[in-house]
Amino acid sequence: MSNRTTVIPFGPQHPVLPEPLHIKFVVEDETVVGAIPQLGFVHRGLESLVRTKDYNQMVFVVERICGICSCIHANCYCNALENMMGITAPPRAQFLRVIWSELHRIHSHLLWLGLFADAFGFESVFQQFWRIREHVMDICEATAGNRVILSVNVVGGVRRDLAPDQIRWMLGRLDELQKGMRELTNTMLDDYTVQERTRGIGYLSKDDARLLGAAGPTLRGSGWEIDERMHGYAAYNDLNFIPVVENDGDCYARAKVRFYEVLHAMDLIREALNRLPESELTVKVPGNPDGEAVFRVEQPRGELFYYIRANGTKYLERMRVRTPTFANVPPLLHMLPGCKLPDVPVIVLSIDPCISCTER
Amino acid sequence: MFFEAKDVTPETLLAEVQRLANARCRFVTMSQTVVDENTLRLFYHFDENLTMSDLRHNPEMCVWSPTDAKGMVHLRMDVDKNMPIPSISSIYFCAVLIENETQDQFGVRFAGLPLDYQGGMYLEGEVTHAPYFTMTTVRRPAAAAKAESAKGDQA
Repeated sequence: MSNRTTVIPFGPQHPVLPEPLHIKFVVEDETVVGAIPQLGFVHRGLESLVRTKDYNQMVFVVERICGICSCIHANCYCNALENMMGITAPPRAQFLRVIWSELHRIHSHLLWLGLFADAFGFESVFQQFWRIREHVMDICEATAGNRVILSVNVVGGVRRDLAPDQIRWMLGRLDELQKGMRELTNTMLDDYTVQERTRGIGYLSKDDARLLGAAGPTLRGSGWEIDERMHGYAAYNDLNFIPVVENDGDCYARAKVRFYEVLHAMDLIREALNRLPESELTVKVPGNPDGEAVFRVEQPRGELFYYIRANGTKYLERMRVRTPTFANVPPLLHMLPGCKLPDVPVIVLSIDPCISCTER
Repeated sequence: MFFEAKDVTPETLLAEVQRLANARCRFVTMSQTVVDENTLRLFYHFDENLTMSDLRHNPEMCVWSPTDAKGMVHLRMDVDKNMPIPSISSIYFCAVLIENETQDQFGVRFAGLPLDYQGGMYLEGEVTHAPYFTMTTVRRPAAAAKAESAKGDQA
Protein backbone atom coordinates (compact mmCIF):
# COMPACT_ATOMS: atom_id res chain seq x y z
CA MET A 1 0.00 0.00 0.00
CA SER A 2 1.57 3.29 -1.06
CA ASN A 3 1.73 6.37 1.15
CA ARG A 4 -0.95 8.05 -0.96
CA THR A 5 -3.46 5.26 -0.35
CA THR A 6 -6.36 5.89 2.01
CA VAL A 7 -9.28 3.69 3.04
CA ILE A 8 -12.61 5.51 3.12
CA PRO A 9 -15.72 3.88 4.58
CA PHE A 10 -18.94 4.40 2.58
CA GLY A 11 -22.17 3.64 4.40
CA PRO A 12 -23.94 1.85 6.00
CA GLN A 13 -25.62 5.22 6.66
CA HIS A 14 -25.14 7.54 3.70
CA PRO A 15 -27.38 10.25 2.19
CA VAL A 16 -27.72 8.43 -1.15
CA LEU A 17 -28.37 4.99 0.32
CA PRO A 18 -31.97 4.26 1.26
CA GLU A 19 -30.74 1.02 2.85
CA PRO A 20 -27.60 0.01 4.73
CA LEU A 21 -24.65 -1.13 2.64
CA HIS A 22 -21.04 -0.67 3.68
CA ILE A 23 -18.21 -0.47 1.16
CA LYS A 24 -14.59 0.14 2.04
CA PHE A 25 -12.99 2.22 -0.70
CA VAL A 26 -9.26 2.19 -1.19
CA VAL A 27 -8.41 5.52 -2.82
CA GLU A 28 -5.28 7.12 -4.18
CA ASP A 29 -5.85 10.86 -4.07
CA GLU A 30 -9.35 11.18 -5.56
CA THR A 31 -9.27 7.91 -7.53
CA VAL A 32 -10.82 4.71 -6.26
CA VAL A 33 -8.46 1.75 -6.69
CA GLY A 34 -10.37 -0.92 -4.75
CA ALA A 35 -13.73 -1.64 -3.13
CA ILE A 36 -14.69 -4.28 -0.56
CA PRO A 37 -18.38 -4.68 0.35
CA GLN A 38 -19.69 -5.59 3.76
CA LEU A 39 -23.20 -6.99 4.05
CA GLY A 40 -25.33 -8.29 6.89
CA PHE A 41 -26.96 -5.17 8.35
CA VAL A 42 -30.50 -6.22 7.44
CA HIS A 43 -30.18 -10.00 7.11
CA ARG A 44 -33.44 -11.48 8.45
CA GLY A 45 -33.19 -15.14 7.46
CA LEU A 46 -36.63 -15.08 5.82
CA GLU A 47 -35.88 -18.21 3.80
CA SER A 48 -35.74 -20.25 7.00
CA LEU A 49 -39.38 -19.39 7.76
CA VAL A 50 -40.44 -22.20 5.39
CA ARG A 51 -39.99 -24.47 8.40
CA THR A 52 -42.64 -22.70 10.45
CA LYS A 53 -45.04 -21.18 7.89
CA ASP A 54 -47.00 -23.34 5.47
CA TYR A 55 -46.68 -22.78 1.74
CA ASN A 56 -49.78 -20.56 1.61
CA GLN A 57 -48.60 -18.38 4.49
CA MET A 58 -45.21 -18.07 2.79
CA VAL A 59 -46.82 -15.95 0.04
CA PHE A 60 -47.12 -13.15 2.59
CA VAL A 61 -43.58 -13.73 3.84
CA VAL A 62 -41.99 -13.54 0.38
CA GLU A 63 -43.86 -10.29 -0.25
CA ARG A 64 -42.00 -8.83 2.68
CA ILE A 65 -38.59 -9.73 1.29
CA CYS A 66 -38.81 -6.41 -0.54
CA GLY A 67 -41.48 -3.77 -0.25
CA ILE A 68 -40.80 -2.11 -3.54
CA CYS A 69 -41.44 -5.22 -5.64
CA SER A 70 -43.47 -7.29 -3.21
CA CYS A 71 -46.05 -8.31 -5.79
CA ILE A 72 -43.36 -9.66 -8.12
CA HIS A 73 -41.81 -11.80 -5.38
CA ALA A 74 -45.21 -13.33 -4.72
CA ASN A 75 -45.78 -13.77 -8.45
CA CYS A 76 -42.51 -15.73 -8.82
CA TYR A 77 -43.13 -17.85 -5.73
CA CYS A 78 -46.69 -18.71 -6.79
CA ASN A 79 -45.61 -19.52 -10.34
CA ALA A 80 -42.90 -21.88 -9.05
CA LEU A 81 -45.39 -23.72 -6.84
CA GLU A 82 -48.05 -23.79 -9.54
CA ASN A 83 -45.52 -25.37 -11.94
CA MET A 84 -44.63 -27.94 -9.31
CA MET A 85 -48.29 -28.79 -8.66
CA GLY A 86 -49.20 -28.89 -12.34
CA ILE A 87 -51.77 -26.11 -12.22
CA THR A 88 -52.07 -22.84 -14.13
CA ALA A 89 -53.68 -19.68 -12.83
CA PRO A 90 -56.77 -18.64 -14.85
CA PRO A 91 -56.24 -16.18 -17.74
CA ARG A 92 -57.77 -13.21 -15.90
CA ALA A 93 -55.49 -13.84 -12.93
CA GLN A 94 -52.48 -13.95 -15.27
CA PHE A 95 -53.41 -10.56 -16.73
CA LEU A 96 -54.05 -9.07 -13.30
CA ARG A 97 -50.64 -10.31 -12.14
CA VAL A 98 -49.05 -8.48 -15.06
CA ILE A 99 -50.97 -5.27 -14.26
CA TRP A 100 -49.94 -5.19 -10.60
CA SER A 101 -46.37 -6.27 -11.44
CA GLU A 102 -45.99 -3.46 -13.95
CA LEU A 103 -47.44 -0.95 -11.49
CA HIS A 104 -44.70 -2.03 -9.10
CA ARG A 105 -42.10 -1.68 -11.84
CA ILE A 106 -43.26 1.87 -12.53
CA HIS A 107 -43.24 3.01 -8.93
CA SER A 108 -39.89 1.35 -8.30
CA HIS A 109 -38.30 3.01 -11.33
CA LEU A 110 -39.82 6.40 -10.46
CA LEU A 111 -38.53 6.11 -6.93
CA TRP A 112 -35.10 5.26 -8.31
CA LEU A 113 -35.12 8.03 -10.92
CA GLY A 114 -35.86 10.51 -8.12
CA LEU A 115 -33.10 9.13 -5.88
CA PHE A 116 -30.68 9.08 -8.80
CA ALA A 117 -31.39 12.75 -9.59
CA ASP A 118 -30.90 13.50 -5.91
CA ALA A 119 -27.54 11.66 -5.97
CA PHE A 120 -26.10 14.14 -8.44
CA GLY A 121 -27.82 17.11 -6.84
CA PHE A 122 -30.83 17.68 -9.11
CA GLU A 123 -33.34 18.23 -6.30
CA SER A 124 -36.23 19.57 -8.39
CA VAL A 125 -36.26 16.52 -10.70
CA PHE A 126 -36.17 14.31 -7.62
CA GLN A 127 -39.33 16.04 -6.37
CA GLN A 128 -41.02 15.82 -9.76
CA PHE A 129 -40.45 12.08 -10.14
CA TRP A 130 -41.76 11.43 -6.66
CA ARG A 131 -44.76 13.66 -7.32
CA ILE A 132 -45.88 11.70 -10.38
CA ARG A 133 -45.12 8.44 -8.56
CA GLU A 134 -48.09 9.21 -6.34
CA HIS A 135 -50.41 8.41 -9.26
CA VAL A 136 -49.16 4.81 -9.15
CA MET A 137 -49.36 4.59 -5.39
CA ASP A 138 -52.97 5.81 -5.58
CA ILE A 139 -53.78 3.15 -8.18
CA CYS A 140 -52.22 0.44 -5.99
CA GLU A 141 -54.18 1.61 -2.97
CA ALA A 142 -57.46 1.84 -4.88
CA THR A 143 -57.14 -1.58 -6.52
CA ALA A 144 -55.39 -3.66 -3.87
CA GLY A 145 -56.10 -1.80 -0.65
CA ASN A 146 -52.43 -1.08 0.07
CA ARG A 147 -49.83 1.23 -1.40
CA VAL A 148 -46.80 -1.05 -1.19
CA ILE A 149 -47.50 -4.60 0.03
CA LEU A 150 -50.37 -5.55 -2.24
CA SER A 151 -51.04 -9.16 -1.11
CA VAL A 152 -53.01 -9.96 -4.25
CA ASN A 153 -51.29 -13.22 -5.24
CA VAL A 154 -52.21 -16.64 -3.93
CA VAL A 155 -51.10 -20.05 -5.11
CA GLY A 156 -53.47 -20.75 -7.99
CA GLY A 157 -54.44 -17.19 -8.91
CA VAL A 158 -55.20 -13.80 -7.37
CA ARG A 159 -57.45 -12.61 -4.56
CA ARG A 160 -58.75 -9.38 -6.06
CA ASP A 161 -60.46 -8.36 -9.26
CA LEU A 162 -60.85 -5.07 -11.13
CA ALA A 163 -64.32 -3.67 -11.74
CA PRO A 164 -65.07 -1.92 -15.09
CA ASP A 165 -65.27 1.54 -13.45
CA GLN A 166 -61.91 0.91 -11.75
CA ILE A 167 -60.41 0.07 -15.13
CA ARG A 168 -61.71 3.33 -16.64
CA TRP A 169 -60.36 5.29 -13.67
CA MET A 170 -56.96 3.56 -13.93
CA LEU A 171 -56.69 4.40 -17.61
CA GLY A 172 -57.31 8.07 -16.76
CA ARG A 173 -54.64 8.09 -14.04
CA LEU A 174 -52.19 6.39 -16.39
CA ASP A 175 -52.76 9.20 -18.92
CA GLU A 176 -51.87 11.77 -16.25
CA LEU A 177 -48.79 9.76 -15.31
CA GLN A 178 -47.72 9.51 -18.93
CA LYS A 179 -48.13 13.27 -19.37
CA GLY A 180 -45.91 13.84 -16.33
CA MET A 181 -43.25 11.48 -17.69
CA ARG A 182 -43.27 13.14 -21.11
CA GLU A 183 -42.74 16.53 -19.47
CA LEU A 184 -39.68 15.16 -17.67
CA THR A 185 -38.13 13.47 -20.69
CA ASN A 186 -36.04 16.41 -21.84
CA THR A 187 -35.07 17.41 -18.33
CA MET A 188 -33.85 13.97 -17.40
CA LEU A 189 -32.35 12.73 -20.63
CA ASP A 190 -31.19 15.82 -22.54
CA ASP A 191 -30.01 18.11 -19.75
CA TYR A 192 -26.33 19.08 -19.93
CA THR A 193 -25.76 18.64 -16.19
CA VAL A 194 -27.36 15.19 -16.08
CA GLN A 195 -25.25 14.00 -18.99
CA GLU A 196 -22.12 15.53 -17.52
CA ARG A 197 -22.61 13.61 -14.27
CA THR A 198 -23.68 10.28 -15.77
CA ARG A 199 -22.23 9.78 -19.26
CA GLY A 200 -19.07 7.66 -19.37
CA ILE A 201 -19.30 7.08 -15.61
CA GLY A 202 -19.44 3.55 -14.14
CA TYR A 203 -18.74 1.85 -17.45
CA LEU A 204 -19.58 -1.86 -17.73
CA SER A 205 -18.71 -3.48 -21.05
CA LYS A 206 -21.00 -5.98 -22.73
CA ASP A 207 -18.65 -8.92 -22.08
CA ASP A 208 -18.07 -7.93 -18.46
CA ALA A 209 -21.82 -7.69 -17.88
CA ARG A 210 -22.16 -11.33 -18.95
CA LEU A 211 -19.10 -12.63 -17.10
CA LEU A 212 -20.02 -10.82 -13.90
CA GLY A 213 -23.60 -12.08 -13.98
CA ALA A 214 -25.31 -8.67 -14.19
CA ALA A 215 -29.11 -8.58 -14.24
CA GLY A 216 -31.92 -6.27 -15.32
CA PRO A 217 -31.27 -2.67 -16.41
CA THR A 218 -27.58 -3.11 -15.50
CA LEU A 219 -27.38 -5.93 -18.06
CA ARG A 220 -29.62 -4.28 -20.66
CA GLY A 221 -27.78 -0.97 -20.26
CA SER A 222 -24.69 -2.83 -21.51
CA GLY A 223 -26.38 -4.01 -24.67
CA TRP A 224 -27.87 -7.40 -23.76
CA GLU A 225 -31.42 -8.02 -24.92
CA ILE A 226 -32.24 -10.12 -21.87
CA ASP A 227 -35.45 -9.74 -19.94
CA GLU A 228 -37.23 -12.59 -18.19
CA ARG A 229 -40.56 -11.26 -19.46
CA MET A 230 -39.46 -12.51 -22.89
CA HIS A 231 -40.07 -16.02 -21.59
CA GLY A 232 -43.75 -15.16 -21.50
CA TYR A 233 -44.66 -16.05 -17.91
CA ALA A 234 -48.01 -14.78 -16.58
CA ALA A 235 -49.67 -12.98 -19.51
CA TYR A 236 -46.52 -11.50 -21.10
CA ASN A 237 -46.82 -14.07 -23.83
CA ASP A 238 -50.06 -12.42 -24.97
CA LEU A 239 -48.86 -8.84 -24.68
CA ASN A 240 -46.73 -6.77 -26.97
CA PHE A 241 -43.63 -6.76 -24.81
CA ILE A 242 -40.27 -5.56 -26.16
CA PRO A 243 -37.19 -5.24 -23.91
CA VAL A 244 -35.57 -1.81 -23.58
CA VAL A 245 -31.87 -2.01 -24.44
CA GLU A 246 -29.08 0.60 -24.45
CA ASN A 247 -25.53 -0.01 -25.58
CA ASP A 248 -23.33 2.54 -23.81
CA GLY A 249 -22.90 0.59 -20.53
CA ASP A 250 -22.61 3.72 -18.35
CA CYS A 251 -24.82 5.26 -15.65
CA TYR A 252 -26.67 7.29 -18.26
CA ALA A 253 -27.53 4.15 -20.26
CA ARG A 254 -28.89 2.44 -17.15
CA ALA A 255 -30.99 5.51 -16.31
CA LYS A 256 -32.30 5.62 -19.86
CA VAL A 257 -33.32 1.95 -19.74
CA ARG A 258 -35.32 2.57 -16.58
CA PHE A 259 -36.88 5.75 -17.93
CA TYR A 260 -38.17 4.06 -21.07
CA GLU A 261 -39.22 0.96 -19.12
CA VAL A 262 -41.64 3.20 -17.20
CA LEU A 263 -43.25 4.30 -20.46
CA HIS A 264 -43.31 0.74 -21.79
CA ALA A 265 -44.83 -0.56 -18.55
CA MET A 266 -47.67 1.94 -18.98
CA ASP A 267 -48.29 0.59 -22.48
CA LEU A 268 -48.34 -2.97 -21.12
CA ILE A 269 -50.83 -2.05 -18.39
CA ARG A 270 -53.10 -0.28 -20.88
CA GLU A 271 -52.97 -3.26 -23.22
CA ALA A 272 -53.67 -5.70 -20.37
CA LEU A 273 -56.57 -3.59 -19.08
CA ASN A 274 -58.13 -3.34 -22.52
CA ARG A 275 -57.78 -7.05 -23.16
CA LEU A 276 -58.60 -8.36 -19.67
CA PRO A 277 -60.24 -11.77 -20.30
CA GLU A 278 -63.27 -13.04 -18.39
CA SER A 279 -62.54 -16.04 -16.20
CA GLU A 280 -62.32 -17.24 -12.61
CA LEU A 281 -59.65 -15.68 -10.40
CA THR A 282 -58.28 -18.90 -8.91
CA VAL A 283 -58.07 -22.60 -9.61
CA LYS A 284 -58.37 -25.33 -7.01
CA VAL A 285 -55.02 -26.32 -5.56
CA PRO A 286 -54.53 -30.12 -5.46
CA GLY A 287 -53.01 -31.09 -2.10
CA ASN A 288 -49.50 -30.18 -1.06
CA PRO A 289 -46.51 -29.52 -3.31
CA ASP A 290 -43.93 -32.25 -3.84
CA GLY A 291 -40.64 -32.03 -5.77
CA GLU A 292 -38.18 -29.35 -6.84
CA ALA A 293 -38.77 -26.33 -9.05
CA VAL A 294 -37.04 -23.17 -10.19
CA PHE A 295 -38.70 -20.09 -11.59
CA ARG A 296 -37.48 -16.70 -12.82
CA VAL A 297 -39.34 -13.44 -13.30
CA GLU A 298 -38.25 -9.90 -14.07
CA GLN A 299 -38.21 -7.52 -11.12
CA PRO A 300 -37.65 -3.77 -11.61
CA ARG A 301 -33.99 -4.38 -10.74
CA GLY A 302 -33.64 -7.49 -12.87
CA GLU A 303 -33.94 -11.23 -12.82
CA LEU A 304 -35.47 -12.73 -9.68
CA PHE A 305 -34.83 -16.43 -9.14
CA TYR A 306 -36.61 -18.88 -6.81
CA TYR A 307 -35.58 -22.44 -6.03
CA ILE A 308 -38.15 -24.43 -4.06
CA ARG A 309 -37.96 -27.96 -2.70
CA ALA A 310 -41.10 -29.52 -1.28
CA ASN A 311 -41.77 -32.90 0.33
CA GLY A 312 -45.52 -33.41 0.04
CA THR A 313 -46.33 -31.75 3.38
CA LYS A 314 -47.70 -28.25 3.80
CA TYR A 315 -44.25 -27.03 4.85
CA LEU A 316 -41.61 -26.54 2.18
CA GLU A 317 -38.26 -28.18 2.73
CA ARG A 318 -36.17 -25.39 1.26
CA MET A 319 -36.66 -22.08 -0.48
CA ARG A 320 -33.79 -20.11 -1.94
CA VAL A 321 -34.20 -16.65 -3.39
CA ARG A 322 -31.63 -14.89 -5.57
CA THR A 323 -32.51 -11.26 -5.99
CA PRO A 324 -31.16 -8.99 -8.74
CA THR A 325 -29.12 -6.73 -6.47
CA PHE A 326 -27.24 -9.81 -5.25
CA ALA A 327 -26.32 -10.42 -8.89
CA ASN A 328 -25.41 -6.77 -9.50
CA VAL A 329 -22.96 -6.37 -6.59
CA PRO A 330 -20.02 -8.06 -8.42
CA PRO A 331 -20.52 -5.81 -11.51
CA LEU A 332 -20.64 -2.81 -9.15
CA LEU A 333 -17.30 -3.82 -7.62
CA HIS A 334 -15.93 -3.97 -11.15
CA MET A 335 -17.27 -0.52 -12.12
CA LEU A 336 -15.87 1.34 -9.12
CA PRO A 337 -12.06 1.02 -9.44
CA GLY A 338 -10.75 3.86 -11.56
CA CYS A 339 -13.63 6.23 -10.86
CA LYS A 340 -13.35 9.55 -9.03
CA LEU A 341 -14.60 9.74 -5.46
CA PRO A 342 -17.43 12.25 -6.21
CA ASP A 343 -18.84 9.79 -8.79
CA VAL A 344 -19.10 6.95 -6.28
CA PRO A 345 -22.68 7.72 -5.09
CA VAL A 346 -23.91 7.98 -8.69
CA ILE A 347 -22.31 4.66 -9.65
CA VAL A 348 -23.50 2.83 -6.53
CA LEU A 349 -27.03 4.07 -7.11
CA SER A 350 -26.93 3.19 -10.81
CA ILE A 351 -27.47 -0.52 -10.04
CA ASP A 352 -30.52 0.44 -7.93
CA PRO A 353 -29.29 -1.42 -4.85
CA CYS A 354 -31.99 -3.04 -2.72
CA ILE A 355 -30.27 -4.40 0.35
CA SER A 356 -33.30 -5.85 2.13
CA CYS A 357 -33.86 -7.94 -1.02
CA THR A 358 -30.22 -8.93 -1.20
CA GLU A 359 -29.87 -10.08 2.38
CA ARG A 360 -33.42 -11.36 2.87
CA MET B 1 -38.03 -32.93 -10.43
CA PHE B 2 -39.27 -29.98 -12.44
CA PHE B 3 -35.93 -29.12 -13.90
CA GLU B 4 -33.22 -31.32 -15.30
CA ALA B 5 -29.80 -31.10 -13.67
CA LYS B 6 -26.53 -32.68 -14.73
CA ASP B 7 -24.66 -34.50 -11.95
CA VAL B 8 -21.10 -33.41 -11.30
CA THR B 9 -18.55 -34.21 -8.59
CA PRO B 10 -16.03 -31.91 -6.87
CA GLU B 11 -13.43 -33.37 -9.25
CA THR B 12 -15.37 -32.60 -12.43
CA LEU B 13 -17.06 -29.37 -11.35
CA LEU B 14 -14.47 -26.88 -12.54
CA ALA B 15 -14.09 -28.52 -15.95
CA GLU B 16 -17.84 -28.50 -16.43
CA VAL B 17 -18.16 -24.87 -15.34
CA GLN B 18 -15.30 -23.90 -17.65
CA ARG B 19 -17.12 -25.61 -20.50
CA LEU B 20 -20.23 -23.53 -19.76
CA ALA B 21 -18.12 -20.36 -19.52
CA ASN B 22 -16.63 -21.16 -22.93
CA ALA B 23 -20.17 -21.57 -24.25
CA ARG B 24 -20.86 -18.00 -23.03
CA CYS B 25 -23.37 -19.00 -20.38
CA ARG B 26 -24.18 -16.48 -17.66
CA PHE B 27 -23.91 -17.67 -14.05
CA VAL B 28 -27.24 -17.04 -12.33
CA THR B 29 -26.80 -18.43 -8.83
CA MET B 30 -26.41 -21.48 -6.63
CA SER B 31 -29.06 -23.21 -4.56
CA GLN B 32 -28.38 -25.45 -1.59
CA THR B 33 -30.38 -28.11 0.14
CA VAL B 34 -29.49 -30.52 2.94
CA VAL B 35 -29.61 -34.20 1.92
CA ASP B 36 -28.61 -35.80 5.22
CA GLU B 37 -26.62 -34.85 8.29
CA ASN B 38 -23.33 -35.00 6.41
CA THR B 39 -24.28 -34.17 2.85
CA LEU B 40 -25.15 -30.89 1.23
CA ARG B 41 -26.56 -30.74 -2.30
CA LEU B 42 -25.50 -27.77 -4.40
CA PHE B 43 -27.17 -26.66 -7.61
CA TYR B 44 -25.34 -24.34 -10.00
CA HIS B 45 -27.74 -22.47 -12.28
CA PHE B 46 -26.61 -20.98 -15.58
CA ASP B 47 -28.43 -18.94 -18.18
CA GLU B 48 -27.74 -19.95 -21.74
CA ASN B 49 -30.10 -17.59 -23.50
CA LEU B 50 -27.68 -14.73 -24.03
CA THR B 51 -27.60 -15.30 -27.75
CA MET B 52 -31.28 -15.12 -28.42
CA SER B 53 -33.02 -12.12 -29.87
CA ASP B 54 -36.58 -12.64 -28.74
CA LEU B 55 -37.71 -16.07 -27.70
CA ARG B 56 -41.38 -15.38 -28.34
CA HIS B 57 -41.39 -13.43 -31.56
CA ASN B 58 -38.34 -14.88 -33.30
CA PRO B 59 -37.82 -18.44 -32.08
CA GLU B 60 -35.99 -19.23 -35.30
CA MET B 61 -33.33 -16.72 -34.29
CA CYS B 62 -32.37 -18.77 -31.23
CA VAL B 63 -29.00 -20.33 -31.85
CA TRP B 64 -28.98 -22.51 -28.78
CA SER B 65 -30.66 -25.70 -27.63
CA PRO B 66 -32.20 -24.93 -24.26
CA THR B 67 -32.01 -27.70 -21.68
CA ASP B 68 -35.38 -26.65 -20.36
CA ALA B 69 -38.09 -24.27 -21.50
CA LYS B 70 -36.55 -21.37 -19.67
CA GLY B 71 -33.13 -21.52 -21.28
CA MET B 72 -31.21 -22.65 -18.23
CA VAL B 73 -28.54 -25.25 -17.50
CA HIS B 74 -28.33 -26.74 -14.01
CA LEU B 75 -25.49 -28.69 -12.40
CA ARG B 76 -26.08 -30.78 -9.28
CA MET B 77 -23.33 -31.80 -6.87
CA ASP B 78 -23.52 -33.62 -3.53
CA VAL B 79 -20.70 -32.70 -1.16
CA ASP B 80 -19.49 -33.87 2.21
CA LYS B 81 -19.91 -30.96 4.61
CA ASN B 82 -16.47 -31.62 6.10
CA MET B 83 -14.59 -31.50 2.81
CA PRO B 84 -13.55 -28.25 1.10
CA ILE B 85 -15.60 -27.45 -1.99
CA PRO B 86 -13.85 -26.10 -5.10
CA SER B 87 -14.77 -22.49 -5.68
CA ILE B 88 -15.87 -21.56 -9.19
CA SER B 89 -15.08 -17.87 -8.61
CA SER B 90 -11.82 -18.23 -10.55
CA ILE B 91 -14.03 -18.82 -13.61
CA TYR B 92 -17.07 -16.73 -12.63
CA PHE B 93 -15.99 -14.05 -10.16
CA CYS B 94 -19.65 -13.28 -9.50
CA ALA B 95 -19.96 -16.61 -7.64
CA VAL B 96 -17.92 -15.17 -4.78
CA LEU B 97 -20.94 -13.76 -2.91
CA ILE B 98 -23.13 -16.83 -3.14
CA GLU B 99 -20.24 -19.08 -2.12
CA ASN B 100 -19.66 -16.88 0.91
CA GLU B 101 -23.37 -16.96 1.67
CA THR B 102 -23.27 -20.77 1.50
CA GLN B 103 -20.39 -20.77 3.98
CA ASP B 104 -22.47 -18.63 6.34
CA GLN B 105 -25.65 -20.59 6.09
CA PHE B 106 -24.39 -24.15 5.86
CA GLY B 107 -21.03 -24.05 7.61
CA VAL B 108 -19.09 -25.56 4.70
CA ARG B 109 -15.79 -24.28 3.28
CA PHE B 110 -14.96 -23.26 -0.27
CA ALA B 111 -11.34 -23.60 -1.33
CA GLY B 112 -9.77 -20.78 -3.33
CA LEU B 113 -12.20 -17.96 -2.64
CA PRO B 114 -10.65 -14.63 -3.72
CA LEU B 115 -12.72 -12.75 -1.13
CA ASP B 116 -13.39 -14.94 1.91
CA TYR B 117 -15.55 -13.59 4.74
CA GLN B 118 -14.88 -16.87 6.62
CA GLY B 119 -18.49 -17.40 7.62
CA GLY B 120 -19.04 -13.78 8.60
CA MET B 121 -20.70 -12.24 5.55
CA TYR B 122 -24.09 -12.07 7.27
CA LEU B 123 -23.47 -13.62 10.66
CA GLU B 124 -22.06 -11.93 13.70
CA GLY B 125 -19.02 -13.39 15.46
CA GLU B 126 -21.05 -14.89 18.30
CA VAL B 127 -23.10 -17.13 15.98
CA THR B 128 -21.56 -20.57 16.27
CA HIS B 129 -24.00 -22.78 14.36
CA ALA B 130 -24.85 -22.64 10.68
CA PRO B 131 -28.53 -21.64 10.67
CA TYR B 132 -29.60 -23.81 7.75
CA PHE B 133 -27.54 -26.86 8.72
CA THR B 134 -28.16 -26.75 12.43
CA MET B 135 -25.81 -29.54 13.44
CA THR B 136 -22.91 -27.80 11.73
CA THR B 137 -20.55 -25.33 13.29
CA VAL B 138 -19.71 -22.19 11.37
CA ARG B 139 -16.08 -22.46 10.33
CA ARG B 140 -13.99 -19.38 10.93
CA PRO B 141 -10.34 -20.31 10.39
CA ALA B 142 -9.06 -16.88 11.38
CA ALA B 143 -11.04 -16.90 14.62
CA ALA B 144 -9.97 -20.49 15.34
CA ALA B 145 -6.32 -19.62 14.77
CA LYS B 146 -6.65 -16.61 17.06
CA ALA B 147 -8.23 -18.76 19.78
CA GLU B 148 -5.44 -21.35 19.40
CA SER B 149 -2.79 -18.69 19.68
CA ALA B 150 -4.50 -17.19 22.75
CA LYS B 151 -4.50 -20.66 24.31
CA GLY B 152 -0.81 -21.00 23.55
CA ASP B 153 -0.09 -17.62 25.12
CA GLN B 154 -1.94 -18.60 28.28
CA ALA B 155 -0.01 -21.88 28.50
